Amino acid sequence: MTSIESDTEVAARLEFEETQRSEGWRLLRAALQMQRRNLLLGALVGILWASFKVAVPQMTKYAINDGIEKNGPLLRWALIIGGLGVLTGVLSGMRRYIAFRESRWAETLFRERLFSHVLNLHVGYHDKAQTGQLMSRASSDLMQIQSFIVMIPITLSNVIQIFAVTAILFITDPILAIVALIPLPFVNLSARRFSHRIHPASIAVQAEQAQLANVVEESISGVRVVKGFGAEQVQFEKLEKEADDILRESMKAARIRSSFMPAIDVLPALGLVAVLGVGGHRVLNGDLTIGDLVAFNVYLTLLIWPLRNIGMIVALGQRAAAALVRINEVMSTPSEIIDPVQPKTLPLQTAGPVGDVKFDKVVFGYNPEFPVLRNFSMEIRGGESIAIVGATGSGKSTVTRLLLRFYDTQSGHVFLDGIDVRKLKLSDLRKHIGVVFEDTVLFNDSVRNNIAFAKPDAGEEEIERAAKLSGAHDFVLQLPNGYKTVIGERGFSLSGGQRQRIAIARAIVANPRVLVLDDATSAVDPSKEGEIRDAMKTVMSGRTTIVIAHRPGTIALADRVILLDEGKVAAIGTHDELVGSNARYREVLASMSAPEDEKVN
Amino acid sequence: MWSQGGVTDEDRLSRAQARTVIGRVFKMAAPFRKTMYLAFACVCVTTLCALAGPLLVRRGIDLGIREKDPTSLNISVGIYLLVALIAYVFGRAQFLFLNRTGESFLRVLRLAVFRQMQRQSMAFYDRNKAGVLVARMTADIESMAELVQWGLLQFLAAGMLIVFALVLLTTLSWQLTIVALLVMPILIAASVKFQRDSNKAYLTVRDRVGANLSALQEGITTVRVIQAYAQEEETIRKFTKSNRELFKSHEHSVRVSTWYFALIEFGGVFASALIIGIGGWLVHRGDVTLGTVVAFTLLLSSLFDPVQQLSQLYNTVQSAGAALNKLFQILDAKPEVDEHPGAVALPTSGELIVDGIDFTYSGAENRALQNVSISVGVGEKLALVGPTGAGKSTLAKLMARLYDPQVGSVSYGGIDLKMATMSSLRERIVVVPQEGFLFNGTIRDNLRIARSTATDEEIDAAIAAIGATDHFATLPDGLDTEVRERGSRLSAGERQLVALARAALVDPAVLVLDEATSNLDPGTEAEVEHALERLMAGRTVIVVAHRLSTVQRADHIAVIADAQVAEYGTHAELIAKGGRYSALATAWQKSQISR
Repeated sequence: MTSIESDTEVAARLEFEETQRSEGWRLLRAALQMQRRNLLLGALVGILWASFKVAVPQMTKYAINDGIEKNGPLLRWALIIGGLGVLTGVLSGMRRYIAFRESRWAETLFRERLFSHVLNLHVGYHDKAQTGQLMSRASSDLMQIQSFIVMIPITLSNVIQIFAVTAILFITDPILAIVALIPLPFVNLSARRFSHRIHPASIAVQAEQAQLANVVEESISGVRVVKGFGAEQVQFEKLEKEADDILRESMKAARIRSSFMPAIDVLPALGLVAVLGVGGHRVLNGDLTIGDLVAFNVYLTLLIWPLRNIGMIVALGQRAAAALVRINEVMSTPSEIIDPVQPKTLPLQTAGPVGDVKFDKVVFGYNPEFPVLRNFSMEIRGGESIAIVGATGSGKSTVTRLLLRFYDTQSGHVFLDGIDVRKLKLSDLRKHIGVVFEDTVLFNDSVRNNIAFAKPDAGEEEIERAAKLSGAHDFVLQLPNGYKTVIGERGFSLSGGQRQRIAIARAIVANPRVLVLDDATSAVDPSKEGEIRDAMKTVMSGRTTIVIAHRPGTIALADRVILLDEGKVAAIGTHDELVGSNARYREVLASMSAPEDEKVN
Repeated sequence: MWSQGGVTDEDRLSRAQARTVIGRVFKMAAPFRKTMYLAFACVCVTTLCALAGPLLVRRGIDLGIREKDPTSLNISVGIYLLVALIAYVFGRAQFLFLNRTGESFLRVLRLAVFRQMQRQSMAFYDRNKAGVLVARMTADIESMAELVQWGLLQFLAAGMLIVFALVLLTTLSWQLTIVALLVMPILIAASVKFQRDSNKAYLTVRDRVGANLSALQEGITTVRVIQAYAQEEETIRKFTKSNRELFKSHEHSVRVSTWYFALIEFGGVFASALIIGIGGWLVHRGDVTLGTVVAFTLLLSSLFDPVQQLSQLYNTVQSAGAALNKLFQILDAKPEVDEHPGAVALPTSGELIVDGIDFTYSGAENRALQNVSISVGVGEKLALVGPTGAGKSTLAKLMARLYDPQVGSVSYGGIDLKMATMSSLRERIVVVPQEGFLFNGTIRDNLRIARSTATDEEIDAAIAAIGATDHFATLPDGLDTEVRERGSRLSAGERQLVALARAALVDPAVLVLDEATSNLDPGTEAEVEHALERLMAGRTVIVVAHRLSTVQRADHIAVIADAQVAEYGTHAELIAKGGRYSALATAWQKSQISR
C-alpha cells in the first residue's frame, strides 16, 4: 500500500490537514463543554471500574498464594473476588450507559443546531450548496463525532487501567515487568496504524460500491432503452467491471486487515511467553511466587484491549475532528439575509388599501458581473393585478425572489407598502406575500397540512374554501382519505396539475397582501385551467397580484402587463394595447406559444 | 465493532428456507470451494493455537516450576513461542482466504442477480419498484460485506472455540468443567434475551433514523418554500420532535444492552471466583493440580467470549439470510419475454401485422387490449391516437415485443415476433421513448448503448443522418462530452437528439415512437422535429401521437378507445366520417383557439 503522491504533495496535504485538525479539536472541546458534568461522571465511573478491574488479578494472586498454596481462608478470597465481580459489572454497565447516552445527546443537539442554522441560511447559499453534502454533514459526519464521544469514558478508564497495571507489575517484579511489557507498545502502535490505513481503504471500497450502484440505477431506470436496443450485455459488462473493482478494493482492505489483526493478536502472546520463560526461572530461583506469575499472566491480558482501544481512538478522534471542520464550515457561514436591527412595521390594513409594490432602479444579478435586472423600476398599486411577460431568462422570476427578499439588490430598492423590504422583519415581509412557485413543492404530509402550511391553526372551513377556489376540492375528496391523505414524495402521488392546485390553495390560506403566481397553472389541464381562472378572479379581487405566465389566457387575468426585456421594463400597458403597439411583445408571445401553435397547424 | 444487523419477523427464515439458502450459497460458492476449505483449515489451526497458550502455561507451572525442572520449563516456553508464530502465520492466511471466499461470493452474486434482472421483461419492471430493485443489488448485498469481512471469521472461530474449549476443559478436569458450566445457562439465557430485545430496539432505531433523514432532507430541499412562508420556526419545531424521538430510541437501545454487558462482566469474574474457590478446595484434596486451576482461570474467557460473540452475530447472520432469500427469489423469477429455442432471424423488410391480440397487464383486472388487429405496410406511417389509458401506448409496446400478447400474434415479414431472435428483433424494430434517457459517460458511449460494436465513423454517420452534427460540435468536447448524472449537462432537446441518433445508429426498418407530451424550448424543438423527420424518412413508423400536426402527417390513423381499434383510416376519411377522431380534432383545435 504505497501512496503515489509526491513528497511535496504529501507535505502540503499534511500541513493542510494539520491546521484543519487543530481547528476541529478546538470545536470538539467547545462542544463537550456543554456536557461536562455527565461526561465527568462517566469518567469517574470509568476510573472506579478500572481500579476494581485491576484488583481482580491481585486478589486471584492472594487466593492462590494464601488460599491454595498455604491452605489459607479460601472461601474468603473467593467471596472477595465474587464481590469485585458485582462491582465491576455494575460499574461497566453504568459506564456504557453514560457513554452512549451522552454521545447520542451530543449528536442530537448538534443536528438540531445544524438544521436550524441551515434552514435560516439565505437562499443564495442554498443555490450553491448540494443537498447531499448538507445531508452527510447532518448524518455521517455527526456519526463520526458520536463514535468518538462514546469512546471518551472508556478511553479514560483504559488509561487508568494501563497505568495501574503497569505500576502493579513494576512493584511486583520490575525485571519481569520490563520483559513482559516490551511487546505491548507495539499493540498500540499497530492498532493506530491499522486504523489509519484501513480508513482510506474502506472509503475506496465504498466509492466503488457507489459506482456499481450508479450502473444498477441507470440500468433499471433506463430499462426501456436497454431493452429497446438489446443493450443488456453492454450494461452487464459495465457492472462486471464495477464488481471486479469492488473485489479488488475489498481485497486490498483485507490485506491490510490480514497484516495487522493477527499481529495485534500475537504481540500480547509474546509477552505471555516472556512471562512464562523469564518469570518461571525467577520462581525457580525463589525471586517470585507462583501466584505472582499467574497474576502477571492475567494482568497482561488485561492490557490488551485498553492498548488496542487507545490506538483506535486516536484515529477516531482525527476523523471526528475532520467531520467537525466540515460541519463548522456550514455553521460558521452567516446568513446574508437577516432581520434589520430596528425593524419597521407595515401599515395596518384598516388604514386603506394595502399591497403597494415598488421596484426602484433595481440592479441585480446572481453573479454580480452578469446582472439579470438592470435599472428595473415598476410600481403596482394596492389591489392591482399585473402580468410580467418576458422571454426565458429575462428575469421574471427574479422579480418575485427580490420581493420576497430571497436576495438583496446590488443597488436600488424594493418597497412593500412604502417600506424598504430591508427595513422589515423577514417573517413580517414574507407573511404578507404568497407565492406559488414554478416548480411545485409539496411536503410529505396530509393535504390539509399542506394547504394550511402558512397558517397551521387554520380551520377546516377556511381550508376547504381555499381548496374550492383553487379547484382542488373535488379531487381531494376523491383521494383515499380525503383531506387527511398523505401526499408528497413518499405519499400519494398527484399529477402536476393537482399539485399546482394544492400550492395555489396554500397561497390563498396565507391571505397575503401580495399574491404571486409564477407559472402556477402550467401543468393544469387546459379544460380545467379555465375553471381555475374564474376562481382566481375571486381571490385576486382587491388583492395585489403578480402573474408570471406563458398562456395568453392567464395573461388576460391581469389589469396591466409589463414586458420585461434584457432586465428592464420594455413596455407597460394592457394586453390589447401591447399587442397592438409593441413588436417585441408580439415576438415574445409568439416564441412562448410557438410549440402550441405548431400543434394546431 | 460493527453496525448491528436487524431482522423483522416477516423476514426471519423458516428452518426449511434457511436450509435451501445455505444449500444454494454453497452451490454458488463452488468455483472457490478450495479457498473456502483452506480458510476453514486455517481457522481450525488458529483456534487450536489460542487454546494451546493456557495449556502450555499449565505445563510450565506443573512440570517445570513445581517439579523444579528448568529444562521442562524451557521446553514449554519454546513450544509456546512456536505456537504464537504459527498462530500469526495462519491468522494472516485465514483473513485472506476467508475474505477472498466471501468477496468472490458477493461478486458472483452481484453478477448473477444483475444478469437475471436484465433478462426480465418489462412486466417485471412494472411489478417491482425501481428503488426496491436497486436496493437488492446494493444495500442488500453490501449488508453482507461486513459479515464476509469480520462476521464469518468470528462466527466460525467462536463456534470452534466453544467446542474445542469444552473438550479441552473436560480432559483437564471434569469437576472444574461442571463448575464453569454452572454459569453457562445464565449466560446463554441472557444472550438470547439480549439478542431479541436489541433486535427489536434496533429496528425501531432504523425506522426513526429513516424518518429523521427524510425530515432533514425535506427541510433542506424545500427551504425556499419554508422561507417564503416564514415557517422556519414551525419546521424546526417539527424536526426537533422527530430528532428527539430518534434520541429516545437510541437511549432505549442502550438501556436494553446495558444490563447484558454488566452481567457478562460480572459473570466472567464470578466464574473465576468459583474456579478459585472450588478449584482450590480440589487442589487441597489432591484431585487437580494448581496448574490446572490456573489454566482454567485463563481458559474461562475462551468459553464465555464466543457465546457473547455468537449472540451478537446472530442478528447479522439472520438479516443476511433474509437478504439472500430475497435475492434468490429474483434469481428464480422466469422472464416472460424470452428467446424461443429455434428462433429465427427476422427478414430485412416486411409488413408488421397485429392479428387478433388480447393483452392484460399482469395483476391488472381489465384487458388493456381486446381483439386488436391492424397492419402496417413497408414504409407506412401509422399514428395511434386516443384518450389516456385507452391502450395506444400498450399497442405500440406490443408491436416491438416489449410484452407478449396473451392471445393472437404480432408478426413481421410473416414471422411471429415470439419466434424471432432477440438480436434481429432489436435490429429491425426500434422503440424511441418519450424522453431521451442518458447513461453515465460520454455522448459517444450513450450512442453505443444501441450498438456496442459501432465504430467512431458509424457514430458520426448516425449523428449526420439526423442532421445534428453541427449541434453536437458546439459542445465543449463534442461527442466526447461527459453527460454527467442522467445527462444533466444536456438540455431536454439534446437528450432527445441523442435518443434519435441511437435509433439512427441501429438503422431499423421499423420505428416505434412515443411522442413527448411536454414542450421543449422553441429553438431545440425545431431541431428535434427536423431530426425526427429525417429519421422517419423511408421507414415504417408507428407513432403514439399527441399533436395534430404529427397525426396529419401519418398515412393512416388508428383511434384506440376502450382497448379496441375504434376507427381506422386517413385523416380526411376520418374527418369525413364525423366520429371520434373528428370530435377529437375539433376539440384539439378549439382548445388552441380559446387561448
